[in-house]
Amino acid sequence: MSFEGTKPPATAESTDHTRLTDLLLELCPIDPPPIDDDLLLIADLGFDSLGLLELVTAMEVEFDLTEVPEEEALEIETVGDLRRLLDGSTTA
Amino acid sequence: MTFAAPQRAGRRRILVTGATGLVGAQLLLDLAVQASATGIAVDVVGTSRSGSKDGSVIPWDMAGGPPPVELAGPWDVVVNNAADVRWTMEPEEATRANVRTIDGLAAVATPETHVIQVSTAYATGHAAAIASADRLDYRNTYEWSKAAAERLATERFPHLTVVRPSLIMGRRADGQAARFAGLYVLLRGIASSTIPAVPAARGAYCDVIPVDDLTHVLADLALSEHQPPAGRPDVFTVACGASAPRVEQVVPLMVDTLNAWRTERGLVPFGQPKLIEPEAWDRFFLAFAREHLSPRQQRALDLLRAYEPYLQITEPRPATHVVPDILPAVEISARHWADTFPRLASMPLRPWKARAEPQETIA
Repeated sequence: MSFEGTKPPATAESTDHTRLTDLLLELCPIDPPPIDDDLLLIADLGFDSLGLLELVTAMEVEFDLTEVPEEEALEIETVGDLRRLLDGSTTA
Repeated sequence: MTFAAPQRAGRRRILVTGATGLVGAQLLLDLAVQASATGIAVDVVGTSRSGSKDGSVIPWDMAGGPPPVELAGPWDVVVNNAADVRWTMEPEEATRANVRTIDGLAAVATPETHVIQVSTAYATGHAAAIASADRLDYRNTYEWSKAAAERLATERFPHLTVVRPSLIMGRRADGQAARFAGLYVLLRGIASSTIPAVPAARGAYCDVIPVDDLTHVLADLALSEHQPPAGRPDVFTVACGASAPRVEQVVPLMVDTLNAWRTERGLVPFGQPKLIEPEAWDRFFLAFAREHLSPRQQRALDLLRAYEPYLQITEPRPATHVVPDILPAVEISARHWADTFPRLASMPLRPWKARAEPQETIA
C-alpha cells in the first residue's frame, strides 16, 4: 500500500496518514524514496535506533497519543508498522 | 598544508563514492568550484548505493556486485567516502559497509589510480594504531571496520592517501549538511527529551569540524598531481586538535542556540542537560535510572552508551591539518539543524522524572 499516488476520500484516517507521511519525510535522515508501507525504517530510510525512538516520541506529540508501550515500540520495523500503530492507538 | 597544482593539461577523471552522503555531496560541490577557480579540466562522477533522484549520482552497491558500465576506468583519482558511520552496527554490518566496499573499489581503480580513502580520526582506537584486528581495541565496530578498511586499502592500492577527519558537522558558513549524525545525535536527543543528561569527562575535548573544512582538503588532494609513492601511503588527520572546544562548551552552546530558535517562536526553552562525570554516571545515575525511569527512558540511556566514549577523550587528536575557531560553526550548525527539523526542534518539553508508582489493586 502506498501513502502517495492514490487519492482516497479525505477521511480522518487518510488525513492522519498524510500527516504521518509528512512526519516521516521531515525526520527521515536520508533523502527518502516514495513512502510505502513496506519500507524498512532502518535499512531503507536510514533511521538509527535512537532515531526510531525519537520518531515514536514525535508521533505521540503530533497525534496526542498516550505513550506507546515499549514492547510495541520495539516491534516497529516498517512504515506499515507505524501506520498500524497510529490506527490502533488512543489519544491522551 | 597545501599541495602542488597539477602540471598537465589533460582532463582529470575523478570518481567520488558516497556522493550523496555528508562528505561526498559537499565534495562534489567543492571539486566543481576549485576546478573552475584553478582552471583544471575535470570529469567528476559520483556514485552511491542508491544513487540520486535526479540521476546525477550513479547507483552502485560497492559490496554487492561489479560496478555499472558508466564507472569504467581508468580513473586518475578515486575518493572513497562510502561508509556507514553508525556506532552501533553488528560486526557483519560494519564489515559489509566499510570493508567489503574496498574490494569493490578495486574493480574500478588501476595501479596508477590515486585512491583517497576517507577514514576517521578515531580509527586508531584505544591503541593509537590501526594494526589490531581485535574489536576490543576499538570503541565500537565503526572504528574497528574503518581500521580494517585502511589496512585493506593499503594492500590493494599502490598510491594511497588516507584522510582521517574527526567528527563532522555542517558547513562553516551556513550549517548546510546532507546528513546529520555524530554531534547532532545529542541535539536530537535533547530536543525530543530522550537524553536526560550527558555523560562527559570534565575537560573532555569535543573535536568536530565543518564538512567543508574537510572537503577543501580532499578537493585539494584530488586536483593535485601529488601522488604518494607506491607502497608508502600518506596519512593526514583533519581535526581541531588541541584547539578543540570542550564538551562543557559545546553542549551548552547547542542548547542555547536551540533555545534561541524556540524563543523566537514562542516556545518554552529547554533546561541545560546535566553533564555527569563517567564514574558518577555509572555508579549513581544509571543505578537510579534502572530503578526509577520508564522503559523508554532506560532504552534511550542504553542507546546513548555508544556515544559515551567520544565524550570522555581528554587528550587532543593529533592533527596534520588543524581546523581552528570552531564554536561559531557549532552555533550555525545547531540553528541549521533546527531550521531543517522544525518539528523535532519545536517538540514540547517532556521533563525526565521517575515513573509513577504502580497503583495498588484490591484483590
